[in-house]
Amino acid sequence: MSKTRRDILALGGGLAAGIVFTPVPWKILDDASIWTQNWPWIPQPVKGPVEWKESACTMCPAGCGLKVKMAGGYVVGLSGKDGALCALGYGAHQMNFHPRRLRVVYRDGRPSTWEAAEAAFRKACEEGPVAVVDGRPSRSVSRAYQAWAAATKGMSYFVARAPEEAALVPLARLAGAPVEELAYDLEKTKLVLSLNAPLLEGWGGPQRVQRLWPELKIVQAESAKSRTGDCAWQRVSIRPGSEAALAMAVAYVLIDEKLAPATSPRPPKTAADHARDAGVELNTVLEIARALAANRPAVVIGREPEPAVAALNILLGAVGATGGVVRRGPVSGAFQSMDEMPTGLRAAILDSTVPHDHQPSGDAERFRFTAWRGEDEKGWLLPAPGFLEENPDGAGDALLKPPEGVRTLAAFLGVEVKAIESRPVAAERPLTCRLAAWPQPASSASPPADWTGPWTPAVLPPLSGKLYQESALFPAPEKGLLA
Amino acid sequence: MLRPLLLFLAGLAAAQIAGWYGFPRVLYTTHAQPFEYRHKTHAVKSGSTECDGCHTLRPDGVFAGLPNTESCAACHPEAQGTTKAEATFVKDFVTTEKEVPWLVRARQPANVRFSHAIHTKRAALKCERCHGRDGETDTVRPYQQNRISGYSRDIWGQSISRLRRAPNEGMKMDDCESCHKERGFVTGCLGCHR
Repeated sequence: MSKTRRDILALGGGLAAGIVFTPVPWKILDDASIWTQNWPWIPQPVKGPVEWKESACTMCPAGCGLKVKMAGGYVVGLSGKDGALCALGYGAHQMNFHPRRLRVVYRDGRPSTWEAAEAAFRKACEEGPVAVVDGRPSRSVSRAYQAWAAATKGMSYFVARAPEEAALVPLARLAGAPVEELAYDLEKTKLVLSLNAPLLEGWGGPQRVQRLWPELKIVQAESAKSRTGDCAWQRVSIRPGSEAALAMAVAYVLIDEKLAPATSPRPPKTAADHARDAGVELNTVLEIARALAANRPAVVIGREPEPAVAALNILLGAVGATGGVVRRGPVSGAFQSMDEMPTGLRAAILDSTVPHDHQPSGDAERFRFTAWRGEDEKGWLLPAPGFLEENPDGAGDALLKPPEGVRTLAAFLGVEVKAIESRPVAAERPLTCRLAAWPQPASSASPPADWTGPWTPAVLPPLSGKLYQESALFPAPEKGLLA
Repeated sequence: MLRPLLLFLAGLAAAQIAGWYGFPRVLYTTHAQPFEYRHKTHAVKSGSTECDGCHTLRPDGVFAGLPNTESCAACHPEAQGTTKAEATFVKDFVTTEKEVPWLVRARQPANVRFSHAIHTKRAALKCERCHGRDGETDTVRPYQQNRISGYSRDIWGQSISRLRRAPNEGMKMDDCESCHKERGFVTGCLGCHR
């Protein structure tokens, strides 16, 4: 019996028809769809017991308390220990896997070795002087740096101040107190006049001000629209760089309306002139001054170090008073800011807590410990432990194991870090300050000639601010000061 | 005319045999567990017939899953008999303090969140509702793995057609959904998926 083409077709047809009535096509379809979910390059969470640990965020100087969810030795989730975190904080555990994670030593943008870095640092130390720069001077490891710098010839210790702390420097100078001991007593404050300070956008840690808001009244004077302004009790548009002018205008009105001691020195120009410099109506300045006087304790917070802001706080009686700027201490000591570094330094070695925008002045050779590569790659970039790969205090165990090739500054310097056994609670201390003469402002109102008013479309996408204000989450500012 | 018809029917029959009997045998590979384990013997000797005697919930409500070597070693610091399994467990895992790499037949994929605490406490479901009567057996079934999906056969169920399967057979999304539907408890996608 010979096989014909028709026989093959009949048999094939039977097989094809029959297979449809078996699980084969349907099961393969189902399994194939599952197979696509399990390709080897798709990351899978590790399996293991879930644990909750406590730590502190190291992504900014605020150091928010963290509750860390760990599974199988990996961090799988973060939440605030005492309130919310910022957007960066919530995703900080992902930063260890960032493409710009530094895993090898770089010199001027090119790969190098630890041995070469050590040799270069030794040479710099011999040629001296060398500065050690720390971003968070109250840690146990900072004590070790300080002791090492004090005991080593030609070494000096500097701190990179957070903007919130740096803004208090003019007041510290007027009061003759170390800036490290000054702090805002915001928990007891009723009203804050913020001069471009991003109070609700990470200033001093998102947990603090967001917890106080909206009971804490914020008058936001700003030259560019911000979310803090969106959420503020009142918002005032000012010219760029005119914070000092507005502070002086308000101070003039406070003295003029006898809302401040009559013996206080007056600002150099009249309230109307300063208001004009700031780009606001005089009536607006009057309302701000009256609101400050009627809602005591009130305090003025600037974004930048501005002596006029310090002077206004003195006139308001906010210095050394409950709800104002208070002195707590002794804290960990008074330190020199890296802004005050002398010229002629041979090298500066920067701890991983120093933000990338803090650069040593002059031609000092840079040895920067960092977990991530930044924009500026001048000098040495030394790979440091990433997020939670080092105990935030610098002493004790870390929650995560750092990768190979990573070292801490303490290990690089060969200093022994001992945990500070007990930290005394910083008690409140008296802080007195008298304004003898009106200080020279740091900034001068020099708005662009074409500056026509509040917020340009380039800064404010159409309608977005309005929609944001009208959302149920964020109450709109009360009417009054806005023109 | 009869010959093509017979050939067609022969093809039809061959496809049925291959699809219903050959395919399941080809689709799954069989893996032995690290060593033999007897639920029934443990239940009798320990006097604990409840599953949660060993498969516990942690204080925070998270299911601990299989007991770890440390908890097994509380009763088995050394071999409790002469079986090969006992010797293997003590030699390879208790003395080396390693966890036993059990092949878990009920393991769900990573994109599924399942709370044993909610199902056993709030819904008062018995373990047997999903896991069958494994706790009463004196052998551990071998682990059968789907060659394509990589999942355990228990997720699909022993019946390749999924027709007339027992209530505890199968752990696919359909099975979860039908049980939820029976009880009138509706959850959205994010109730189980992440």
